[in-house]
Amino acid sequence: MGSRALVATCEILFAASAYGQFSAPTRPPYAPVPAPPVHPVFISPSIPPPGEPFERRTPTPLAPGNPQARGLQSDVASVDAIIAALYESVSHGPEYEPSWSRMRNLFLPAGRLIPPKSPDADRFTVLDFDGFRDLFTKGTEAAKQRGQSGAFFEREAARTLDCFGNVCQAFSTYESRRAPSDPKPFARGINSIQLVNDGRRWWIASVAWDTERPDGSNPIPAEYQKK
Amino acid sequence: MRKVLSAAVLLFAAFAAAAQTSVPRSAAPPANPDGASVDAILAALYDSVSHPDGAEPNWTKMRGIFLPVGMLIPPKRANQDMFTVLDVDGFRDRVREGAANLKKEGKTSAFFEKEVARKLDCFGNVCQAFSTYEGRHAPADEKPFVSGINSIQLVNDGQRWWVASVVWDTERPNNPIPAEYQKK
Repeated sequence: MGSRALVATCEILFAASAYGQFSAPTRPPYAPVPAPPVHPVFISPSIPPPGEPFERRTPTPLAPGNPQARGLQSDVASVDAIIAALYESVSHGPEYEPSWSRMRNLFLPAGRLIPPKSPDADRFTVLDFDGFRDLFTKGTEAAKQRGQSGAFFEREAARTLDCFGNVCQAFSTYESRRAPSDPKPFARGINSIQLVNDGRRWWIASVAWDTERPDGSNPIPAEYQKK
Repeated sequence: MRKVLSAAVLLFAAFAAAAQTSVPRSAAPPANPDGASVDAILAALYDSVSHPDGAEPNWTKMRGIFLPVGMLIPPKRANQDMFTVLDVDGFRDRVREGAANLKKEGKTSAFFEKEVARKLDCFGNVCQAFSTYEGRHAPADEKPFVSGINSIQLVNDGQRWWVASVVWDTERPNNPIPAEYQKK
């Protein structure tokens, strides 16, 4: 039964190929289409593709009288204020999430967040604000499913600052805790924060960071631990 | 019948093997020596942007050192409301426009930029350079026609260095370069 079916199939296949030989013009030998090379860097899909203007998403300004608008304005009035607002907005208790609207206000519409490549990830990742929010939310959900607290409190432990005109860069050492009163942080690292001033306010252009590794490698150098 | 079957299996196996060898699933771009070290990538940045009159920066070299979404943020012009955030292609368009305007005015578009001082902070796969620059029309010119500082954020993907972002400002009468950023 099985053999007969196979013979029939082979006959059909053979007939089809014979038909093809007589009717179709000669084709180049079959070659699979090579897959496009995979770039070693993964770009957040929310970042506009090259060629599209970066300023595509401009934040809608709040009315000047709005109390939230005043708070957002004071967040960006100085380098100290914008860095403080970055750490405050990302920190949150177990039942909450970062203050996304406050955090978004700090970043240029084209602003970037570049996390370190985790050892199990196949590619390095570049995010914009929306991409970071999505990844951060996924990470919190995963932590909760493992029975861990979704709380996250990040504070600045030291800062090296260079400024010239309308440009500043901060090498900002951070500590992360599950509760603000935890004696020891569960993670430490350094944020490289690039800032620009448009004459009215400060903006974060890019934050790239790396962490001390769980195996004790990549310790924070003493010079970046000084207050 | 068995023979047909095993031939079919063999054929399939051969095809699968051929497909595996001829379709690279994750071919990384060839190694770029410009990304090999922080010194190399910063040298490549200054090298690629410099060019004589009538020529252009080396866009291929410059594209090769920036992340695909790497940013260049020039100083805001007085008549601009907001910063212009550029990628390498956007920067190229801006440079071409500038060169065309200079040509109309009968001026040279030659530009030789060199680093004169650098303050570097590095931790793991992240570096930031506060890189003081001088721009000249000819490398031998005694004095630069423009100076400033580039804030350059660099990241390493585990294989090589990339420029994530360059933001700069220029020296103006009311914005002199501090002495600490002029030291070699």
